[in-house]
Amino acid sequence: MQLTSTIQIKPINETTATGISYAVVLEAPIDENGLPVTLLGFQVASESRSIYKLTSEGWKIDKREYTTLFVDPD
Amino acid sequence: MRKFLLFLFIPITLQAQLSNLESDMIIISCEQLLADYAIYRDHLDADSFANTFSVDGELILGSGSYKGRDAIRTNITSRPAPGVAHMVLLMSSKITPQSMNEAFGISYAVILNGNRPVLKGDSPIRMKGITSAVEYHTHFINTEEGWKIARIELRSMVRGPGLAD
Repeated sequence: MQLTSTIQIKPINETTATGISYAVVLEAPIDENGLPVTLLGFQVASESRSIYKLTSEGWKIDKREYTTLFVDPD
Repeated sequence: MRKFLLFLFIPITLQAQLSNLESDMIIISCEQLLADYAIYRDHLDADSFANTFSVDGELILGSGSYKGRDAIRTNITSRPAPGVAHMVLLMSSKITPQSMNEAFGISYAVILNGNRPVLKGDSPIRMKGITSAVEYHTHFINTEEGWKIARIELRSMVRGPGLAD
């Protein structure tokens, strides 16, 4: 699960915007019986910097760069 | 006399009523302001962080209270630079507009606080769970510069194990 958190979007002009967003990833094998999986921490916490462009198909991600700040040691 | 009092009362009441659109716009503005607060705090962007507050806004942390933009700016510039990796992960947020010029909010956040900077190409910090989970109690006001934080108080609710090393 990628849990997107804080999101800051700054429009630059009518067709371009930039954004910074945070995400925490929870990762574990899915239980065969559909039961919840026990986790002691998150897998990674990362910051992404994005450029959004307005295209003929609507707003799209033009570029996204991730920086992983925190990681589970196990 | 009764009619005169009624005349005075009605306009004030009507002024306090917000349309759904007005209320939604205030909520969006305040949520964006909180995102700015979090990102600028994490990036130690002192001027932008201070400007999320009104001129005489107040920041209340566990370490103390900082009133006015200069004091709030100093709270950021007094930290070591480059700053240690820090993330304010905003979660549930309840913004309650009071009028076109005032709103209150309660927001939850998970805090991840590292022990060193993480710059491009650096390895991530080993973290076992969260550092803490907090509540932000915020008073927003609409100023000539737009919506600003008049007062924000951080209340620490949960402590996690945090750093692994």
